[in-house]
Amino acid sequence: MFARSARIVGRRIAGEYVLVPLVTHGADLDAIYNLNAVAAFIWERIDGRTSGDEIVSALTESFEVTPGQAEADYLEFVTRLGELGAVEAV
Amino acid sequence: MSESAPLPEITLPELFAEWDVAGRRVPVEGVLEPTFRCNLRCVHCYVNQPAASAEERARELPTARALAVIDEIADAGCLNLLLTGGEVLLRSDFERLYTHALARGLLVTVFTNGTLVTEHVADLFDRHRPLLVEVSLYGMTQPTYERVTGVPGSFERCLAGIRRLVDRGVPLKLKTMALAWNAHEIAAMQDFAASLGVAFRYDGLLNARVDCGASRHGDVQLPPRELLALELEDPEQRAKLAHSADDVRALAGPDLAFEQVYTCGAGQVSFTIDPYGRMQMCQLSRRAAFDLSQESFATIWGVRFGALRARSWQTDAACRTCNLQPLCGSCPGAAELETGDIEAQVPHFCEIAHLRAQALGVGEGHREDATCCLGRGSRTAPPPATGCGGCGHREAGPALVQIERRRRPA
Repeated sequence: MFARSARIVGRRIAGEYVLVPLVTHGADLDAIYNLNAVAAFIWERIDGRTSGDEIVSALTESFEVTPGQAEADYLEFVTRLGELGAVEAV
Repeated sequence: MSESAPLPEITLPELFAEWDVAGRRVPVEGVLEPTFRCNLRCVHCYVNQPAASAEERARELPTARALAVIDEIADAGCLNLLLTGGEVLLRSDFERLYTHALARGLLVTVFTNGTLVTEHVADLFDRHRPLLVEVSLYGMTQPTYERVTGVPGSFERCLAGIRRLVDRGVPLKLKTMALAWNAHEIAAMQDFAASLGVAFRYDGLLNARVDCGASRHGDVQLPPRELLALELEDPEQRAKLAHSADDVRALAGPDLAFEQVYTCGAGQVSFTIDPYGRMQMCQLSRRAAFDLSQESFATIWGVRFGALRARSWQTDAACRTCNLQPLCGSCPGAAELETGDIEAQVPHFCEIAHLRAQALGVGEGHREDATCCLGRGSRTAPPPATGCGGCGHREAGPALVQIERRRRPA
């Protein structure tokens, strides 16, 4: 299970979804992240209470994907978010 | 991931182009001016009010209201927010406003004169990184700098502030207003910026004051030919002008006639909110100002600004059919400041545009002295005023207050 880091802010702007990192000591903000619909769907459900299985299940209900594809999408995305420090395992 | 790359990294311009923010009129670029007060008294400034003015402070948005305005800005879809003034660090609640804007996911740039960048402020910018801090530098020697700012000791305080930011690696740029008083030190300012590893830029076009339109150009304004010489010596400025010259060529033709007065991003992708909570199209075009305590951001943006953006030319002003616009510093906002009329010509800017065009070889159909355009059509601006009296703004006072005492009787 993952929770969103306080080091990143998710925003919906004009129908789009972006992640804006909050940058600290010695680093510069060099990028923000524009999420596609699947990524935004996952991000909005990463709340420290909803399990990965629940998110994958919700993905298969809302998008035309097989459970296997949905699980792969979820794992790929949270792995990348973890690399960015955008989520923390709880 | 099923649709596309899951987490593509893109630059802001790429993002805005991809979203078509201009076509869809999304307010992604905002300016918030929490105060017009400033601890310096720069001779050329278009907004500064006395730092200690209780009257001015009382007019400014209180903290709670300013935080709510930032919320409105974020909710409206703004992504890039500039905090400027006045000197924004004079606000005792600056830290709260700044960190709140960051926490709302705004990319914050701060304009400052640098003199109030204390260890505490520099640590704040280190701890909570802005997108950028831009420090205005008004000279590279104490006499020049302080002649412009009118405040003894301000040069050293500015340099100390810059050093604190550099020491912490805060994203930083330096800039100046190119004036007749400091133009001879611009090369030194550029060298100084290069020695720090930061970018430097300058602007040689002064605007009239926003509160009363008074222009104190006088001997402060760099004459057009001297500004052009400065620009042509600078590879970066020359490249920008060359790019604008391409736009001039593209506009050339007998049928050119702009339909809408506003062709910039004001009210299309950008907005300005002044210290009193009034929302305007930009930092220059302020006559149409709408109070955020009376109307929502969405109403002002959608209805009020929508109508202003739709405004078509009402006169046969020369600017309407002028293909030199890409090289011209004038715009509806500058014209409004100078004359009160968004369609008027600003002679000084017109002269500079014609000089630039001739120097770049794109002045066909125009004369170098701008007599082809100046005075043609209606609503040419009168010569800049040299003072005011019609508003509350005060000219810079003496640096030291002389206290008179009666002599004791001998």
